[in-house]
Order: sequence, then C-alpha cells, then structure tokens
Amino acid sequence: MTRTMPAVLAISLIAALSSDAFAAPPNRPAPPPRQAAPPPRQAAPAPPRPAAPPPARPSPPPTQGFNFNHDINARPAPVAQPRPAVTQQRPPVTQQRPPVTQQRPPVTNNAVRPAPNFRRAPFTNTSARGPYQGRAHGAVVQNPRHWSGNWQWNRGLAWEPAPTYWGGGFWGPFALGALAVAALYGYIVDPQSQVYYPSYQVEPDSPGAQLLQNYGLQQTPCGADNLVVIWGPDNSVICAFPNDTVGPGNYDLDPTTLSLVSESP
Amino acid sequence: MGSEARTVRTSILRLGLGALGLSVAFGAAGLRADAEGVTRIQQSDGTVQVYRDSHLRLVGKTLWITSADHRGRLQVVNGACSFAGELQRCLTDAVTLHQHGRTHDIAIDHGTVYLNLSDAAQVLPHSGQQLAPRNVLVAFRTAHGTYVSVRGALDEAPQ
Repeated sequence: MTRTMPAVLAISLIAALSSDAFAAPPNRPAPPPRQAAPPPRQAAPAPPRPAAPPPARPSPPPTQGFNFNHDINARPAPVAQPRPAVTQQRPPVTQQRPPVTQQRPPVTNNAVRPAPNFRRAPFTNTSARGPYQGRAHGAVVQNPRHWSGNWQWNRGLAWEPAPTYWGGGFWGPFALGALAVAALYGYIVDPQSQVYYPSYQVEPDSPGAQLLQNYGLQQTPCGADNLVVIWGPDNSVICAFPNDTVGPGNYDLDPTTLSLVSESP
Repeated sequence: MGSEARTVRTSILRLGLGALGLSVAFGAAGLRADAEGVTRIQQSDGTVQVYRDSHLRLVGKTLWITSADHRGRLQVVNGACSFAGELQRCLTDAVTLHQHGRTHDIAIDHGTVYLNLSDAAQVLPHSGQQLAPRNVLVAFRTAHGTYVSVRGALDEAPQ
C-alpha cells in the first residue's frame, strides 16, 4: 500500500500537468480569427533563416494584460468624434446658463423654430434644469405612485446624471454622438437670452418614460401653447399634453422622488 | 539496511512531489473554473484581441475586470443606473486601466453596462438576446475608437 501510493500520486501529477501545463496559457489572449495559418511544410527542408519575418498584423498584444495602446499612448484624445455642433459652441457653463432672475419673464414655448441667431442651450454636465432651476417654488405635484422614499422609483438605487450623456440618460441613453439620430421633438425658446432648448423623444424604459407613465402624461413635441413643460437634467426638456393630474405650465423635475415642482406658485 | 533506507527516502520524496503536484493542479483548476468572462477589444485599426477567463467582480457601482494573467485590471464605474424589468442598466461613467503599476484614465465616448443580478435569465432591451442570471454585459467605445465588450458571469457580486 505504501509502495503504491507514490505511484498513484505521480500519475495524478502527470495527468494534471498534461491537461494544464500543455494547454494554452490562461494569460495569453486567444488568437484572433484573422491570424494567418502557418505555411505548409515543404518536402525538402528549407535552409535555415536568420529570423522569422514578423506577421503583418500581430494579433497578440505587445504587452500582457489588456491592450489599450491606442488609447493610453495617444495624447491628447481626438476631438473629431461625430458630435453635434452644440459642443463646439459650448462656452463655460457659467456663461451659458440662462440668467435666472426673479424679474425675468417666463420662457415662451410657442415658437416653432428658433431664430437663426439663437444658440442652443449647452450640455452642462450637471443637474442644471433649464432657466427655471432654483425658481420653481410652486406647488409640488406628487407622483401618483407615491414612492415611499428617495429613489424608490429606482428600487432605492440613486440615479445620477452621467457626464458623458445628454440628459444624463434620464429621458433615454442618448450619447452625444447619437443626438443626430434621436427624434427631435420641438423646441423651447428663451427669447431673452436667445437660447433655445431642443426636445427629444423619450425612449421607452427610460426613467423619463416611467415619469410620464406615473403621471399618465403623453409626450408631444414642444412648441404649442398650454403644454406641460418638464425640465430635466442637463438643460433637457420634454413636453406633454396636460391631464387631470398635471396642468399646463413649467415644472422642475425632482429626480429623487420622481415628482414635479411647478414654476408658478 | 542501507538499501531499505534509500528506498524509504525515495518513497517519501515521491510522496511529497505527488502531493505538491496535486495541490498545484487542483489549485490551477479552481482558479480557472471561477473566471469565465470574455473581454473583446477591437482597436481603431481593426485588429481584435480576445481575452478569455477574465475575472469579473462587482463592488458597489464599480465593475472590475481582471485579465487572466492578473496583469491588467479595468475599472468601470457605472452611473445613471435604471431598471428595465429585472435588468439593471447603467451608463459607463468612467473607465480606468490599472496595468504594469500605472493607472490610465480611458476617455469614453459612450457605453452601457447591463447587469442581471436576478436568478432568472433576462431579455436585453430591444434585443432577442438573453443575459443569464448573475451575468454582466459591458459595451463601450473609447474616444480613440476602441470598441470594448465584456460578457460573462460575475465571479464576485453583492448578494
């Protein structure tokens, strides 16, 4: 028994090595499908070469770990991404944000198309919510779902704007580059600061879609009079037909409770 | 007497080597069984690298993707999370590469992280594909045009 035990263990060791050590190393990335196959052997042995020619497109990364050489060795990052022209016009946030004063007349939403000299409201990368930020002190239209606490509409998970996304993804995960294909849903025009706020169609399954569903609101393109105008993160805005729960007017969105705060007292 | 002692010493040596080999073999097998994530990186020039056996770990809102050789770690910070049914969908807020003792911030153009922390397979929005229970799907594009996708079961996730 004592003489057979080492033999059994040795056989186990050999078996383990044959299946593990001879397999492809786990830390080596799998070769890409375009890797060239080795050339077929010739009948006569070829004369020895000093060195094998390197492949035209080396598939394995030059370093171990992950290959991000195009990203970490190239500086600065290119700005040639297909982004909307608004990013080119964006001045600093403090200059772009529409002036918020108590004497300021309300923004009109009856313009079909902004004047050519008007500039688009900037992406703020913050939770800025249009010209009514800080001015919405009116009645709170509680969410009919009566969410028990903050972020309960998101199962208690705090939602926050993502800096790289228009609208923070609240109305849909619209990347800046995807704005060109997003469905435009009218404009809100601020004639005093000569800024216009384009509106886009709310994407299904987005937090904004849940807001509309909770209030029973139906989105409509901005531009007509007497609409429900909801200002969201990053100067985003959408419009909806008023109903028994929400009357026409401007509303600031409280994302923690998914409730609406009226601009007018 | 001397021959017997030599035989006993040889047996002990073989026994030790065998035990060591078994422990190494089982240990390697255990590590490999844990990490089954697949990371695919398509460079802006079209070349593709596929990294199998990536280790996927979710800590809070941060997803850690570790290469099988443990040389590289991708830190994907999620933001703006919402739910589509039982499927948690987050936007890629920031990506950092920790590799060779250095830290590199990867500029992101756009990206999405899908997390299925439920016990049932979930259908991805606007897709016929399903995400298995406790699986993750990551897809993002860097500012330099590198496409990265990660898919696999979470090796570590909050219960």
